[in-house]
Amino acid sequence: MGIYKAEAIVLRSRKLNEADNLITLFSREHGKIHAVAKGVRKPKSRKRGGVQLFTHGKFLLYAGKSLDHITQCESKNSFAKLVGDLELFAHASYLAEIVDGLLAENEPQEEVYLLLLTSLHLLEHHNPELLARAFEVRLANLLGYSPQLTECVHCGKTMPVKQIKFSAALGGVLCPACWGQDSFASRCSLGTLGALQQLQRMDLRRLGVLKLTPEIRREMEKILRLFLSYRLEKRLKALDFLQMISEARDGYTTGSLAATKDDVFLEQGKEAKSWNEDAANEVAERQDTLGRNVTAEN
Amino acid sequence: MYYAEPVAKLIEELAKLPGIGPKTAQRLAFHLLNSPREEGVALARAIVEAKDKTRYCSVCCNITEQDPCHVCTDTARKRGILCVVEEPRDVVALEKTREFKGLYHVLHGAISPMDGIGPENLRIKELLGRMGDGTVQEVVLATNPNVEGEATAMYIARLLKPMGIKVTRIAHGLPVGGDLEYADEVTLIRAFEGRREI
Repeated sequence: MGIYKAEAIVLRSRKLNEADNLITLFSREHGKIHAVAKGVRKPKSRKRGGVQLFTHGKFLLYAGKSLDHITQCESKNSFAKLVGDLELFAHASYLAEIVDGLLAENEPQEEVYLLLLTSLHLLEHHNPELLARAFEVRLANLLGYSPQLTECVHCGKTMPVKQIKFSAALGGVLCPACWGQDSFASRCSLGTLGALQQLQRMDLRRLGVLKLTPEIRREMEKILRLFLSYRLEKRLKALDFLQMISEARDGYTTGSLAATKDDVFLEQGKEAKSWNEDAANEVAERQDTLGRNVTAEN
Repeated sequence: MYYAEPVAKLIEELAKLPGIGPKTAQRLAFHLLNSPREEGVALARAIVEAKDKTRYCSVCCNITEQDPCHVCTDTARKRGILCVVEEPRDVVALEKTREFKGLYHVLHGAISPMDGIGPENLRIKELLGRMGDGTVQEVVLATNPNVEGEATAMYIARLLKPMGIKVTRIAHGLPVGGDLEYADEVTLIRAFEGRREI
């Protein structure tokens, strides 16, 4: 390819050698690219500003033998607000990690690119939690994992019916008659179903009009997280931090601020971790039993 | 087998060092072979000593020979101000300026959610432990001015502020000898905000 240009978002940045960084770019034209940014950890580097995490910019790269190199870059938007707020930072890291985890290298995915760019812009203005849910649903749609929400994923019965469960493994909702298909399917209230359907089609810029109860939000979070971890087949590292930050924030609002002195953050960190491990174990367990079911059927 | 066994072993070990490829390792190995025995022994001893005789200071978590380290025990230094840095190397960089006369705290890393490095992997608990007796009045956050460093600084500030401690962040600006033209906008905005009269 020689020298080529790309408009891209910095998904990830890792240290390499003395002063270089290995950057994972998600570009509009070429999809995910790994590229070396030489000397960007030196104070006088001209590229330093353009390769910071989440920066959206224009890049000039040349294809090396194994890795590409970034020769020039110019940032269009460095999303300073995302870096300036712990909660937004945690959410942005989460979005970037999902994209990094789900996409293969050098496969152009312009729609996903636009989704990520829009989401990063909107993160600065909207409720980050809701935006993350919308992002999860949309990303699944774009990548062909779209959850089945209009009819039962097993018998095809049209929704909505009275009691619904969502099966992360089968990738959709189940009507009461088909609950047995996945014994681990989690409860999905009608409100949650409606909200998920909304998120699938609504204009992301109008997310603010969606008013959801805490129960619906919790249910959606659980459903989508399990659904995505099935497709990703690995644990997202950014989740630990995200969980901890949101729990700390909830701590703020309920007035346990005075307790910060007693390492409450660190304690919550541990809890968050165990929550995440629980979720991971749950997934593993379910996959196990599902595998058994399949072999039993055979 | 191209080399004698001990030489091959030496090359193999040298090649494990960062930035040393097989060719450089070979060159270093032959240099050591051709140099006087004392030099080789001195190098070997220096490596073993550095490994055996250093540990983390129980107060500031810096790498030290004695515990607590010479900075923490130095009575001439101010006890009321604490500078938080990511790596032991950052302490060296700041010490070279001879400007800062307070104490340090080394975190050994920065928060990086995507690499799975959370606050519990850093020496933040130790930092909070140092706040207990009320001698520290100001904490200067000197983590790196990149995304991870900023997040770490914000996190620590959120923990310390409710304790009534003054928390400051080192200034952002243009490097000496840098070009205004190539500065990114965030740096320029911060540099502008921090302008001063001359």
